[in-house]
Amino acid sequence: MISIGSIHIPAFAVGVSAGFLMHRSGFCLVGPFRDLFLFRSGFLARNLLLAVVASMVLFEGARRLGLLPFYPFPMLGFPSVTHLIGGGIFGVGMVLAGGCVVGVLYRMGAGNLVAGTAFLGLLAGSAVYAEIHPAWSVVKDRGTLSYGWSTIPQALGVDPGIVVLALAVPSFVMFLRWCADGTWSRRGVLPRGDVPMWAAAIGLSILGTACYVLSGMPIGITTSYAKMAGWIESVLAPGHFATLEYFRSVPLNVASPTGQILRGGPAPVLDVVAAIQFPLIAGVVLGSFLSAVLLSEFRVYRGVPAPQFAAGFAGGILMGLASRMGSGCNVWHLLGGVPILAAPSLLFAAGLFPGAWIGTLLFRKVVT
Amino acid sequence: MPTISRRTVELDLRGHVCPASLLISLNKMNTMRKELSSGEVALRILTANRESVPTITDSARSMGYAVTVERTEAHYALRVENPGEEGIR
Repeated sequence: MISIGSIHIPAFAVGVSAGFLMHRSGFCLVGPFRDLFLFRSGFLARNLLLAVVASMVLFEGARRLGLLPFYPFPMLGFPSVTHLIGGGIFGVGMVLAGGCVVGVLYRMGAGNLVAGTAFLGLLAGSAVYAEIHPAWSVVKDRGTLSYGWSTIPQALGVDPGIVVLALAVPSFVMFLRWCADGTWSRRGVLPRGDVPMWAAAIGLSILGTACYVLSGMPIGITTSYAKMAGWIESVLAPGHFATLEYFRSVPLNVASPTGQILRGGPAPVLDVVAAIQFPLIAGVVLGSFLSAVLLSEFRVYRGVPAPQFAAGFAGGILMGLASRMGSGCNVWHLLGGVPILAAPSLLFAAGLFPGAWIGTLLFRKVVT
Repeated sequence: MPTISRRTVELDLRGHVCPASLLISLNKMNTMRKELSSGEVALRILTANRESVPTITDSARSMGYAVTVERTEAHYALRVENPGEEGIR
C-alpha cells in the first residue's frame, strides 16, 4: 500500500541498509561488465546474475501475493533504440567514473573524493540532457519498437510466472553447481568486516523488493539528480531554466489501486519522486558513512592523480546524460526492469556491454 | 620465512578510484618483477579501497609472491615480496 506521506521513512531505511551492505561487500554494478573485459573475470557478473534472479523470483512472488501496487511499474515505457544507446553511453561513463549512480554515492559516503567529483558530473550530465530533451524525445518516439507491450511475457502473451519459472529453475541449478565449485567465495585476503558478495546480492534483492512493494517502483534515483540539477540551474540561470521543456515534463502520472494520483518528474519540486528518491540517496550515503566509521575506515585522501578526477567527472556527465537518454539508470534497469523481463531494461543492459568495453580502453589510458 | 628484502618501495594508492589500485599494482609488480623475485625489493602498497585488498593479494599470490596484509590507521598496507623457502602465503 503506497502512503506518500510516510514513504520517506522506509525509503530512507532501504537506502541506509543498501549503503551499509554495499560498503561492506564491495557489491558493484560496474564490475560485472567491466571485469569481463579488463580482467577476464566473471566473479562479479555471477553475483549480479544472482541478484537479478533473486529479484525476479521475489518480484513474482510479491505480484502473486498482490503486494505490488503496479505491474509493470510506472515510468518503464516502451522499448526503443534509445534504451540501447543510453545503455551504451552509460557503460562508458560508469567505467570511467569507477562506480555507477549508487556506487558513487556509497564511495562518497566513505570519503572518496573522486566519487564526489563523479557525483557533480552526474548533476552536470542531467543538466546537459535538459538541453537536448526535445530532440531526443523525437528520436525515442521514432525508435520505439512497439507501443503494445513493455515486457517479454506481455509480448508472448503468457503469464509472467511461467517465464520466471523457466529462467529461475536452470539458474538455480547453475548457482548450486557454482556453489560446489567454490566460485562464490572470494580469493585473497578479505578486508575487515567483509560481507560475502553473494549475501549482499540477495540482501539487495530483498531491499529492492521492499522498495517496489512500498513505493510501487524499484530502486531508482537519477530523476532526483535531474531535480538537483534543475534547482541549481533555476538559481544560477532562471531565465534559461524557464525555457527548458524537460523540467516541466511529468513522466510519473498514474493512479494507484487505491485511487491515489501519483505525479512527479524532474522539476525541482518536492513531489512523489522526491519523496522516494531523496531519502534513498541520503540513506545510501549515510549507510556507507556509518559502515566506514564503525570500521574506523572513514578518511578523505587528497593525493589522487588529476586524471582520475577528470575521468570521474567525465564519467559522471556521461552517466547523468545517459540515464535520462535511456529512461533510467543501471540500478533501475538491472535490478528493477530486467527481473520483470522489461524490454527497455534488457536493451539498456545489452548496451552496457559495448559501453563497458569502450570504457575499459579509455580507463586503462587514464590510469597507466 | 620470506626472503628478507633489502629495500622497500612504497606505492601510495589511497583514495584512488576502483579498479585503479589493482591496475597500478599489477603494473608495478610487472615492472619490478626482477627485483621482487630476487628478494632485493619488497613492495608496500597502501590502499583505502576495500575491494582492492582481495584482488591485489590474490593477483600477487598468483604471480608467486608472498603477501601480508596489515590494517593501519584507516587504510590497508599490503606487503608483496619474494616468498623465500616458506612458499606462498
